[in-house]
Amino acid sequence: MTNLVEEPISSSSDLLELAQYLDRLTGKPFQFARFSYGDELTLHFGDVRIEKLTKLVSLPYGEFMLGARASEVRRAKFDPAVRRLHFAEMPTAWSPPLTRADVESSPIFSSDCFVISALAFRVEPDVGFGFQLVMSSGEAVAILPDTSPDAEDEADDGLPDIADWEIFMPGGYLSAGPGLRWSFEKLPTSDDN
Amino acid sequence: MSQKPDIKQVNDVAREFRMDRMRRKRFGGYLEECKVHGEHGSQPNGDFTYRELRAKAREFLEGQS
Repeated sequence: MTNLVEEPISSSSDLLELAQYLDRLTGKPFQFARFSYGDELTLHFGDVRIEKLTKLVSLPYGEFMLGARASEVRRAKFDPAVRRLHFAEMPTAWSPPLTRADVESSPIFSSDCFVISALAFRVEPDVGFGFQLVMSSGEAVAILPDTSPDAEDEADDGLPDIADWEIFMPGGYLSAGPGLRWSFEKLPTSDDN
Repeated sequence: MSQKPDIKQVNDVAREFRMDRMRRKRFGGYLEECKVHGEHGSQPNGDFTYRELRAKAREFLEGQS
């Protein structure tokens, strides 16, 4: 078992700096969506490699892996010729929060599409950072921090709170939330197993 | 969509077993794979109790060595 100490190399509420990390997703092809334990939606981009979870269990992972954690996920379609879609400007263009059944019955993105833009935005009134991903296929997803009335109660269940969304990427781990904060932590570039 | 308490429990168990971030992510994938292959927990929806998660964490880490 390894015992890595992961020191934040950047932590801020500055959206511009956050945008620079998110820009690494631009141009990356969408590979697949998968659910992790707790019905967490994960989206995989870029090159795919098979990772050994144990000696007997292996799974494919994208080099960029977006995890929605416990946040709302919504989707929208737009005209790719226009290539302009922003959740904060047009919230009604987006679907209601998706369920696992929604995603399993209708793929989140078409095949053969890639990321046109990945950006974070403030969710008012200062709830946290939302995230939207716009694809070349005219499809988009938005991830929004949990604002349900139960969210505060759950925060008191004695367990440390979790990020609103996160991205594993080559060389690092980006996480946003809870609240208006984000961080980027440097991770080993090679498999440490 | 997500079950926030379940995700928080996995986080907590991963922390207890000193898993780094990537290993915590893989642990979540491993747990889901267990469920997909019929290895359910004793919760009504097939999820694992905290005690079962700790046992799964040991199993997961031992399976890597």
